Amino acid sequence: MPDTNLTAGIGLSTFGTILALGSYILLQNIPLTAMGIGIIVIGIAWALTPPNPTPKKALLDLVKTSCSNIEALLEATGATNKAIYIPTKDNQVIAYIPLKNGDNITLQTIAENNSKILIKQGKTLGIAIIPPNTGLKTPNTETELNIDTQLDNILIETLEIAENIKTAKSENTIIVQIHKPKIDIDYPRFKIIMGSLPSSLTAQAIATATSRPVKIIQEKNTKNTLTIQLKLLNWTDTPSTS
Amino acid sequence: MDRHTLYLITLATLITIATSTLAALNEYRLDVYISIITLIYFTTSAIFRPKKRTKDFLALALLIIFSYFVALRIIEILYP
Repeated sequence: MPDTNLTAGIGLSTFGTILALGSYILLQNIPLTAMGIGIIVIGIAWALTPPNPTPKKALLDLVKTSCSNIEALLEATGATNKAIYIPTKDNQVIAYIPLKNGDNITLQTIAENNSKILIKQGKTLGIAIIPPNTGLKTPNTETELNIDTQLDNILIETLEIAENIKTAKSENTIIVQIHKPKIDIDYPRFKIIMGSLPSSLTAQAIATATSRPVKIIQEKNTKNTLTIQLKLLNWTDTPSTS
Repeated sequence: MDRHTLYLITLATLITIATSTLAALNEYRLDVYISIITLIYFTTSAIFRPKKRTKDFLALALLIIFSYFVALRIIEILYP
C-alpha cells in the first residue's frame, strides 16, 4: 500500500524547492522565495508524519487476546465483584478481584503477595492478575500533572486509542473524560469486573501515577465521550470496605 | 479531527498568513521570513506534539539556519 503522506510530502517539497529556487534566481522575488521555503517546510513535515493514526492492529490484537484469556479465567472463577487496581513495588499494577470477603486483609498485604495468582487469608479469597497494559512508568512525584501525563502517554501517544483526555480530581475521586475512544472489547464479564479497555488502562495509569490502589466506580458512554469515575483507595482499606 | 491532520493544517495556515502579511508589509529580508517560519514550526510542534517516523531533522535544519541568522545580527551589532 503506498504511503500517501510520504508521497504527498515529497511532492509538495519538490514543488516548494522549484518555486523557491525559481523565484530567487530568475525572478529575484523574496516573498515568493519565502513562500517556496514555507511549502518545503510543510512538505517535509507532512512526509515525516506517520500515516496510521488508528491503533496498530498487531498491538491491539495482542491486547485483545490477553483480554480473552482474562475473560475465560473470570468465567471459570465465577467472579462478580469489581477489580481493584493495585500498584506493586516492582512497578507493575495488579488487578485484585475479590471472590470471597472474610477476614480483614488490607490492600497493602495484597500488594506484597504480587507473585501469587490466588490470594487466600482466612476466609478471604481473591485472584490477582496482571491486566493488559503498556508503557506504564513510575513518576518522580505525586502530582496531578503526572496523572495527565500518564494518561496522555498511554492512551494518546502509545496506543493512539483516544483523541483527547480531560481529568478532574476531588479528594479521593478522579473523573476522567476520554474523547472519542477508538477501541473496545466484546467480553461482558471483563467489562463488568475490570471495566472497558480504556477504563482499565486509565485505572492502571492512575494507580501508577499516584502509587495508590484504584477502583473503577462508574463508567458512562455518551456519544463520543467515555466518562469514568474512579476512587483512590488507601493502603489500609480492605477489599470489602473499599 | 485527528491531531496530526490538525497539526499540518495549522502549520500550513500559519505559514501562509505570516508570509502573506510580511509580503504585504513590503518585507524583503529573507532571514525574517525564515525566522518566522522556524518559530511557527517549533510552536506548532510543541503544541500538537505530532509523532515523527524518523528523527526530526527538519527541526535541526531550521534551528541551525535560525542560529546562523541570529549570529549574523549579533555580529552586526557588536562590530558595526
